[in-house]
Amino acid sequence: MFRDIDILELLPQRPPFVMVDHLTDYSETQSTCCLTVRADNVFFEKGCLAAAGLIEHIAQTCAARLGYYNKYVLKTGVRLGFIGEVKNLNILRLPREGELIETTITVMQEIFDVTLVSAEVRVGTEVIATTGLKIAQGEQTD
Amino acid sequence: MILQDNLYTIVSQQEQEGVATFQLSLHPEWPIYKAHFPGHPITPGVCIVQMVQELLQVLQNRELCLRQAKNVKYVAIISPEEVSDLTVSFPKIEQQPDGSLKVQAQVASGSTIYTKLSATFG
Repeated sequence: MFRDIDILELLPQRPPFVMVDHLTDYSETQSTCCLTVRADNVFFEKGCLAAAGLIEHIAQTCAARLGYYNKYVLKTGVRLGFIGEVKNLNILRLPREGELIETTITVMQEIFDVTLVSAEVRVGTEVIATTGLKIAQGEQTD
Repeated sequence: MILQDNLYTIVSQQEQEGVATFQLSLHPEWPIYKAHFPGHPITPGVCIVQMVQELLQVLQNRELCLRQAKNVKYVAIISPEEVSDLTVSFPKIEQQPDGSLKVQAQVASGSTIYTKLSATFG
């Protein structure tokens, strides 16, 4: 059901800077998004999604969760979002072309417009990256 | 290089007292600014990480990839309408026994600091 929502409804970013394909799971404290790594990605390099693309994918998983909350729970508009901090990032390997990556974020703390999450990126059951992220929300988009 | 000569151009490169520093000019016409975000162009935070990685590769003249980050702190937002040049400095580049590099980097413009990074590249 979450999968059926057009991801552009939930995100302030637009192609070619969209780094999640679908929201696949949502709750107030945990959400999951997926992305198939494609060669036309801005951060595609040498057969893989570069580290910056992986971090952006995690950040947009947070954005999709916030977008869903703003749009379907609060029934307001999608808001701009910014990364405030990347903390304790560990990349075990980069995902390769054609691989489906799934990222689950768990909300650790939410204070006004700032959300702290911990994230895990998987290919199948293999964990390929973990990190903490601080996301700040900005103004509503038009 | 994904961002060199797309998002930024290296204007100059110098080293003083062991600290490597790059002067960069930003390209406000970079098409990604229309996507991030429509009507509100802002340099994506992850592009700073990619930029630091690319500059480190220029310095070291080898392929490097971000492996770990203790932290990347975004102190202020970079808007291409307000910021046209950046100074990226590397106060610490420490080679580890396994060949990876422990790096501290700082991104600033004039007296404003935008990003501080402490990470390992390998």
